[in-house]
This record gives sequence, structure tokens and C-alpha cells, in this order.
Amino acid sequence: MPSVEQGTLLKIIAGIMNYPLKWLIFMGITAMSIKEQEILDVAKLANIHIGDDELACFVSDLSAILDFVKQIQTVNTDNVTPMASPLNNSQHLRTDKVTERDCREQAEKLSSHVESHLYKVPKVIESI
Amino acid sequence: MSIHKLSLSALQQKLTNKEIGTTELAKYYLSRIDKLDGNINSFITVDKSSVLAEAENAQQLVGKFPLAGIPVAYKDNLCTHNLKMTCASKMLDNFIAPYDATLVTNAKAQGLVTLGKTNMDEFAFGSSSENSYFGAVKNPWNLEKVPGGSSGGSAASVSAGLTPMAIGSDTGGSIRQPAAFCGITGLKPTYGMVSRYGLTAFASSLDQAGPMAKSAEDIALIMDAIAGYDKKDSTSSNITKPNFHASLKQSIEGLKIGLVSEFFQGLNNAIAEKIINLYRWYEKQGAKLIDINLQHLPLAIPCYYIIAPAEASSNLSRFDGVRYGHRSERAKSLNELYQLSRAEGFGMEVKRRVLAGTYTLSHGYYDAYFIKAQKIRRLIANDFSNAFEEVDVIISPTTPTTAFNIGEKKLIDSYLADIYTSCANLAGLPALSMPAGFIDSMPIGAQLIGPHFSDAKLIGLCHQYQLAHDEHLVQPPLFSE
Repeated sequence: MPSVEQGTLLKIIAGIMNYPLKWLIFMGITAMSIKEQEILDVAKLANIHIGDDELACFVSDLSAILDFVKQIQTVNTDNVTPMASPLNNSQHLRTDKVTERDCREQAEKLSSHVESHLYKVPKVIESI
Repeated sequence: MSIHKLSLSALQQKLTNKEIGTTELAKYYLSRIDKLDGNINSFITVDKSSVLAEAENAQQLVGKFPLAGIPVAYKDNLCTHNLKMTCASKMLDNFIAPYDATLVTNAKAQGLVTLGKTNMDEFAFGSSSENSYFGAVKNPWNLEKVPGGSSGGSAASVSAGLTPMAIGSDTGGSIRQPAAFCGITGLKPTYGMVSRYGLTAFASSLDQAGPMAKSAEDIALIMDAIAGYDKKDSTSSNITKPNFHASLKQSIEGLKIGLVSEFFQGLNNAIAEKIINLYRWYEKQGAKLIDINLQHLPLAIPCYYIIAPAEASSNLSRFDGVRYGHRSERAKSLNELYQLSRAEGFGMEVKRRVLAGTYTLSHGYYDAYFIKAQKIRRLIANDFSNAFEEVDVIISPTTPTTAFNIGEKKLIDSYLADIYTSCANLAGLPALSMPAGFIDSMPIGAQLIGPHFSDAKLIGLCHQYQLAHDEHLVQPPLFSE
């Protein structure tokens, strides 16, 4: 009778022989699951301008991504607590005392649009 | 023997014995970069004057710290004071880091010399280092192939002997997969073991910086230099820092190694054989192989590709063209300034992931995608917790194939390059990739995954293997001289 580890090795070899693997079945899905208008809406939320020449590409790519990740819906997760962080550390607290040096001037050097310690942007309020 | 073939301990010995000075050593590596990096494009920034100034200062620390005077390359998503940090993006092409990342501060305090900043996938989004504004990185073992990613520049530069060590970051496999493709050793430490302060955030609950080098012994020395609690990183773990180098001697007698058949499904036959040989070696030294089940493992990649883009879409919202980074010249309103700066500054893969993340976080999809993925993440982490009740370490292949050709993989195909690695990030576990032989002259890697904070043990187990084998010492023929 084979030992546990021999049994596992046999299973591994069987897995190899059964290629193509189960994990990749989902790659055959081709239907577009997201529409052009949804891409434009999401792009607005993400504050990224999408050019007319890019739109079709994003529709196709995001559809592929969403089809790919859809397989998580097959698992029952009732009563499972969502996991936001891998460690259960409590948040570090410190006394409310300034410890960092003021590096405003150094930070301002990173922009060529600073005047009187203010960042210049296109006009927001229209003149009357 | 050529200097670039030496281990960190051997370099330390040469410096301590005054066989070589810190400036001479820095010049040696600068000259190799000058001569050879044109072939692989592994560096984005090398500032010779700052390298030589740091090297000169480090001379006085030789003998006081193990790695004093030895050069290190940092992935270009780590802040190094007064040096450019681009994240391989047009968005940050002119960004000069105003401070040091904590791990850089630690390294500098011990005399490590900043050699330069390495190329990568833009904002660490990728597994091939092709998605760089500064051009693709090439694999030193075969210039037609990718080095892996996203820490491809760090891996390639170590493999080609252009730096004795490098630091990478790993969000879904970005240290281990390129380490495997380039034939070096790389560790993704336990989440919280190395400070993330000054590491440009991609997916904050998954990101972890870590060392890449020729051997486990080198990895231990680097961890001794960079790891530890940091009050500037709210997710840093306040645990007693292990002495990594002193933990290299690990007993294999009675070690329980977990075998997970899911890791082998669809795997290249030749890679499977190499990993089985590795099991057999540990078994001969007294380890026991135990069959374990990680039933949710096949969901790690889809889970990762919801959580990582979601967190990235939030983290990358800071790039708005106002205070730093690329600013569009075409904008006529504030909204246009945001939208055009981001459209012009980000590459296609970054836009793709930011859009995907924004979509899964948006109203109506949040529960179905993001919360669902966080629940699956819990199930995956629970699988590992249960497994580590039974075994000390899990050994698997690092990647399903050897390095693929530049331009070969598209979108989802390329996402699957992290099929064996992203699970460790989701669960926050330490995982190490070690060289495990060659197939058609290309290196392959084996992955060791352990429970939280077992980093030193993983390094030690890898070290024991490397004491008896020499795969990790073989260098790419094009760069061996």
C-alpha cells in the first residue's frame, strides 16, 4: 500500500497528465460583459480621460478581466467575515505630538507651478 | 575570482581585510553597469557621484556592520533621498524623492551603498517588466525572454552580477517570480516584517518589500540590515526581530513538509520533476512529506485580481497632476487637469487596473466583487492556518513555466504567471523562491511558504539545500566574466 507521500506524488503526476488544467477553463469565455458607456462612467469616476481610439480596447480588456474574476461567485461565503488585512494587528497609536520636520519647501520643489506657497491650477471660479 | 561572483560574506571579508576599498568596489560595479546594462536595461537611474560619495563615507563603517561598503540596488518604487523615483512611469519621470524609505534609512545607517534604481513594471503592475515607460527589461539568461516582474530589474541586475544585492517589492509574486526566472534567491517577508514607509503603495494590504540576492545566506544578511518595526508604518509588526544570519543553521530532521497537489495541476512536466527531486532531497535529510489540502487555492488569482486593482485604484488617486508628477499642458479646467494628466502620465496596464478597481469598488458592484473577494481571501488564509497546524513549511514550484518570450503573453495569460505566488500575499505569509535547476538552459524556482514570522526558518531551510547544491552559483554565460 503506498504511503501518504507516495499517494500525493502519484496524484501530482496524474494532474500533469490531465493537462490542460482546470484552472484555465474560464479563459474560453469571450462575451463582452461591460459596455462602452460603463467604461466611460468608470473613467469619469477614476478621473482618467479615455480617447476614442482606446475605448474599444478597454471594453474588451475589462470584459476579459471581469469574466476571469467572476469564478469567485461560485463559492458559498455565507457567514464568512471579509478579510481586509493579513495580520490582526491593532492600529498603532501615538501621543498627539509633532515629530516630523517641516518639509514644505522641499515638497514645493517637486512642482513648477507654485507661487507664494500656493499651487496654481486652471481657473475654477468663472469671473463675472 | 571575479568580484561579482562573490557572496556578501566574501565581499565583507575582502573589505575587512582591506583587500579592496569601498570606493574601488563601487567603481567595479559602476563599470559593469556601464559595460553590460545596455543588454538588459535593468537600471533606470545610476548617479555615479552620489554612489562614490556614499561609498567613501561607508569606508569608516567597514568592520562595524556586516554589509558596510557593499552596494545595493533598489527597485524604483522605493524612495531614496535626492534620487529620482519614477516607478517606471511617465507620471513620475521627474520626481525626486524628498526622503528615504525606512528600509533605505536602515541600510544607509549600516553603510550599504545605494548603487541605483532598478527598472520594473510601471507602478509594479505586471509579471514581465515589459510594462515600463523606460523599455522592457531582458533576462540575462536569454535576451529574448522576460526576466519576470514586477521586480524584473532587481532580479536581472543581481543575476547579471551588476549589483551584489537588490531590494524588490512583492504584491502578488513580484519578488519570487522574477527571482525564479533569473535564477536567484528572493524573499517576500511576512507582511509587516519590513517597513513599507517610502515604498510607493500599489495594494497596501498585499505589498511587501524584500531582498533579492544570489543565496539564502545573502538574503539573511540583508534581512538583518533592513527588517524591523517602524513606527512610521502603521502595519509594521512590533515583534522581536530575529537574528536571520544566526538562524541559517536549521535542522531538517523531523521537518514536516506540506505537499499540495493543487500546485501541480497543469504544471510543466520537467518543472514538476525538479520539484519532486527537491522533496526527495529534504526527505533524505529526515523531513516528512505530508499531503495537505488548500481547497480554495485555485481562487487566489481571481481574488487577487479584484483586491489588488481595487486598492491600487484608491492608492493611485494621489496622482492628480497638481503637487507633483506629470501635469498636462492641454488642460483648460481643473477636471481636465486631473483627467488629462492621468491619461497622459499612466501607461495602458495602469489605466486598465485603475479602471477595473474603480469598477469593482463602485456602487452596485462593491458587495458582489470587492467584499466577496475579501471573504474568499479569508477562506484562503484559513486554509493556510489549518495547513500549518499539520506542517512546518509548504514547498511548491514558484512558477508554472520558465521565463517566456518578450511580447508573448497577453492580459489574462500574463496574470496567470502569479498563479502559485499570490496566495502568500493574500494570507500575509513569508515565501521564498530558490533556484531549483535548469530546463533548456533557463532557471526554475522552488517556493517555500511558511507560517507568519517564520521568515528566518525559510531562509535557513533554503540555506541547508544550497550548502549541498550549486544551482544558485551558476551565472548566465553572457555575464559570467
